[in-house]
Order: sequence, then structure tokens, then C-alpha cells
Amino acid sequence: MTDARVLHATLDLLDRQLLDRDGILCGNVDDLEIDRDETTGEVYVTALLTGPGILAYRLGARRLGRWTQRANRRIHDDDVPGVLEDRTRIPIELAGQIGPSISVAVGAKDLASHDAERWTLRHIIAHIPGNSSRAPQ
Amino acid sequence: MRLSDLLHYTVRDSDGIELGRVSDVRIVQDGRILRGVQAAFRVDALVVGRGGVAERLGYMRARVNGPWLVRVLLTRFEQRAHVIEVDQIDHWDDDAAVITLRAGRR
Amino acid sequence: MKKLLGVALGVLTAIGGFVDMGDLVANAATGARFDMNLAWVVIVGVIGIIVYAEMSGRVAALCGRPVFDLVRERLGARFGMANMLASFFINFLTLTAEIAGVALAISLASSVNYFFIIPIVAILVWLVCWRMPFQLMERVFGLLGLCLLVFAVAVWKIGPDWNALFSATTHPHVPGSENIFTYAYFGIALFGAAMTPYEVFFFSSGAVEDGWTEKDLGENKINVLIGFPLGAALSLAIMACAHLVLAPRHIVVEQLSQVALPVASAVGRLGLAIVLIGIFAATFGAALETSLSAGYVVAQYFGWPWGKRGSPREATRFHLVVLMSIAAAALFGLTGVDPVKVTEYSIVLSAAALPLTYFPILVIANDVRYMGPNHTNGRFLNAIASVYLVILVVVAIATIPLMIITKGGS
Repeated sequence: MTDARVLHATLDLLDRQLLDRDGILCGNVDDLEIDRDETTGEVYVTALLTGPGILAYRLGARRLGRWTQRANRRIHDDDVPGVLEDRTRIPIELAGQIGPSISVAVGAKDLASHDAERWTLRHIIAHIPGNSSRAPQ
Repeated sequence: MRLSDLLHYTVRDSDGIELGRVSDVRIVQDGRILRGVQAAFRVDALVVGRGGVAERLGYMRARVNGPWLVRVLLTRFEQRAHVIEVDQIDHWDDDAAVITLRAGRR
Repeated sequence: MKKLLGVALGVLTAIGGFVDMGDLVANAATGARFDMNLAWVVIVGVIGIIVYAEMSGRVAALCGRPVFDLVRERLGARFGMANMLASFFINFLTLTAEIAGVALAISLASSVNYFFIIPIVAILVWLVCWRMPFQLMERVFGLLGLCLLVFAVAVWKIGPDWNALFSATTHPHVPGSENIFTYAYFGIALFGAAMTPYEVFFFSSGAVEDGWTEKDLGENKINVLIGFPLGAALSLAIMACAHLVLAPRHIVVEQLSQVALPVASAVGRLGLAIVLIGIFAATFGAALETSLSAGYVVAQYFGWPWGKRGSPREATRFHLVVLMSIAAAALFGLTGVDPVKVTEYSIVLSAAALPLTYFPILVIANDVRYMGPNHTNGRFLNAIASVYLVILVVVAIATIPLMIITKGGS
């Protein structure tokens, strides 16, 4: 490991835009999961956290966070097979390029941060005519 | 633990003197290889103390230099931040959110 | 040749797009009340928006991230959220003002009741946001906005003593009938009108959507460096008209019709027709920009898909925010709130909020990791940008106290 990359969590990871594997915007890095190995004393960043409730928790609004998570479970349709065990947690090994944005090797559909996007589509946008036409460029 | 929790921890030296609150963590990507693709993101140091804004904006460690006015105003506060390497930590008290350093460390 | 045409079109769009309801009201109101004594503020404002827009265009082109995305990244989630809420609220006031402006222009032309027109305008604005392509939208309303050049024609028709006009502009003082507080308050209003933040949200988001790269930086500079000063010249023509026609008659601008009055009296019915088309286009264009900006601000903070390039299905929450903002602004307009007052508050508060978005962009424009080694701010630009940072902070601190002392400039 000669040129190991050095990052600063709040500077380089926190609040960055996430892009899914197709380049779709899919939330921000709302928080990071940190794991401490009690025996060796080593500390690792193990996951990027994103989605409803995570941001509220970070900002100290724990109750709002729990409420958002509950509300989000309600609008989540179960027909999508989950790739992730926890849909607000992206294991760090799935993170690709880290720059002004961070690309992750999952689909937006796999993330809880995208549930409200699809709910809005199904219940509102899909009912308005002309919703699927791209504007001619 | 979440990063947002860690950012509430205070750091004390072995004599119990408070050095400040954790304001950022430095990560080195040199840990064991995960899923054969990526080296693990090992936390190698804690940035402790004031200077959150300058830290956040990248004025620390000369990543951003200009404009002069902003740099001067922000780096004033910056000098009070310490970088504490993780192996200097003696123990973590998760209930009190306190990190205590080994003896011999400031 | 085609390239040249594109550049010319861009510049013309920038001129027409520079003026909106805020500029119309602020320039006419100050011209009527302070003659040309605040003209210098327009110059200060336009240099500021040039610096700000050029930086955010360059940032957008080089790292592909729009303003609000970076605001959160740089200021953190908490301060970023406060910033987002403040910006959204001020943008909402501006949107209300622009929709009211469109409705007033139509009602002046057709003598149909203003309250009847507001909902129709709101629906039209939404339809364009929903269906019309970005660039076409920008061009059509920018070019139609050039009808406002009739203000310059009006100044010429009035045939003022040019030397006196020039000397009045270059020798500003606080008029005897006013005090320093009202003078400063109206100065801030003019400044906020010239440097409205939504222009930059819109501009940088547009640059990202149009896929700007390093190659587009030259065009960015030309649009901004030529288009905005010409837009400012247009603002000054509006002010001069008010100074020449309204001030001697002691008319205080309280309605949009009074903004158009000097043109009607100097150029006649045709002039009035042209100016109403110009006002319509300028406010309609700005209504679109502020509607989309409402969506940009929220979506970019939360990292949602946003934009007009794809279909609404691909940015559902963004389009929902746009739709709800337009509906709420229309409802607010229908409560009978005074459109000129809303405009005045929106531009004054815009001025106060400027450091919130200007500062992060200034920092990013100096960050090598985002901009690459060759495109960070130069020393000269940084010097000017720092002066503006100080000005913006002073303005932000002074705004609320001045608003209270002058009772909103009355």
C-alpha cells in the first residue's frame, strides 16, 4: 500500500451526492457507519447511510427520524426484491468513485431514499398527462 | 456507531484534561481488501477541536487557498485543532461519549 | 457562423433575462423618488452578479454540480438546511411577485380583472415547466423581453439634457426630502433586484442540464460579460424614465402601470403595447425560472433527481415541488396581497440572503479538487470577489434593521 488514499469524512464523504449504477441521483450521504474493533482498537468506516430518517437522526431530531422511517415503510412497495439487507445502508465496498459525487454499485430502486420518488410517480405524476414525454431538445 | 454520534464525543488526555470535541475523522484506504475490490476505509486519526467551518470548507491542510481574506479569517481558528492518531487512544467510554488517550500523550 | 449566432443569441437572452419584476419595480420606484442618485447601485449590482454568475457557471461546467448541491456539501446538513429553507421562502416571494407581474401586464392590456388572470397565468407557467424544452423556453422569453428596450427609446424621445442626466448620475447625493435610511434601504432593494439569487440557481442548474464542459467556459464568459451589463443599461433606462417623467409630477410608484407610464407618455399607444409585451415576457420568463428554482433548491439539497432534460417521470419529486410552489404562489397572489409590496420585500430579502449561497460558491471556485489546476479563481477575480463578500455581508446585516427603521421604505 504505497499511495493509500487519505480522506476526511466530513469533507470528502458526508453530504456528497450519490449516483446509482446508472448515474441516477439517489440521495446524499446523510451519515456514515463506523465500526470499532474492540480487540485491535482499529476503527473502520463500514457503510454510507442515506435515506429517510438518517438525516433527521443526525440533526438531532430522533423522533422525526423514527416517524419518517415508519412513514417510508408504508409507501415502500415490496415487489422490488432487495439487494441490500438494510435499504438505508450501502456497504462501503459498493462505493466506487469518490469525487464531487460518489457513485455506488446499486440501483436507485434498492435504496429507501428513492421510495418517495416512486410513490410520487405512482400516485401523482403518472396521473398528469404528458408525464412521460421528454421535451424535444 | 454513526459518524454523527462520534462527532459528539469529547477527547481527554490521560490526566483528564479536555482537548475538545471530535470534529472530523481522517480515513486512510489501506485496510484489508473487501470483496476483492476495495481496500477498507480505516479511520487513522481523529481531528479534535474547533475549526469546524474551516475544516469543512477545506482550508485546513491547504486544500483551498484563496481568497486571501477568507483564508486569513478562517485559519485563525484552525490552529486550535489537534490531530489525534487512533493508536493513541486508550479507551472509549460510550455512555459518557468520552475518548481517553494513553499516558504520555498531551 | 453558427457558433457566432449562438453566442449572439445567448447575449440577447441574457439582456432580456436580466430584467424581471424586481428590476422593473425597483428601478422605477427609485427613479421616481431619488432621481438618478442611486444609479451607481445598479452598476455595483451588475458587477456583483457577473462575478457570482461567472463563478457558478464555471463550477457547474467543471464539476457538474449545481449551486445548492454544493451549498449543503460545504456548509453541512444543518446550516445547509436553514439556508435551503430561507432561499426557498425568498424564492417563493419572488415567484408570487412574477406571477402577479404577468397577470398585471395582461390585465393592463386587456382590462380583464387581475384576480381572474392569476390562475390562468399559474397554469400557463406550470405547463411550460412541465412540457417546454429548457433552451427554447429561455430564448423565447429572453428575446421577447428585449421589447423593454422601448424604455431606452422613451428616454431618447423625451430628449433630456444629456449632460445634466449624466452629471446627475455621476454625482449622487441623498436628496433633501429623504434621509440616509430610506436612501440605504432603496439602495439595497436595487442591489437585490440586480443580484437576485434565483438567477444563479437557475443559471448553474441550466449549465449542468445542458452538459456544459470546459469548452463552454468561453461562451459563459461572453454571455455574462456582455449580456448582463447591457441588461443593467436597460435597468438604468427604466430608472431614467421614472426620473424624467414621474419625479417632476411627484408620482410615487405603487402600481405596475406607473412603471409603464413614462413610455406611454413619450412613445404613445404603440410604445405602451410594446412595453406591456416586454413586461409580460420578462415577468413570465422570471416566473418560470423561479418556479424551477423552487424545485432545484429542495431537490438538490436532498439529492433527489431534478431537472427538465428528462421527462417528469424521471424527476417526480422535483416536479411535484415545482407544481406545489406555483399553486401556492397563485393562492398567495389571490389573497389580494399588494404585488408591488411583495416584489419590494422579495428583492430586499434576496439581498440579505446573498452571502448564504455566494460564499460556498466562492470557496468551491478556489478548490483545486473541484476546478482542476487551471480553472480556480485568479488573483484579480479573487480580489473583486472578496470585496463583494464584504459588501454582501454588510448588506445582509443592515437589511433587517433598515427595514424596521424605514417601515419598509415608506
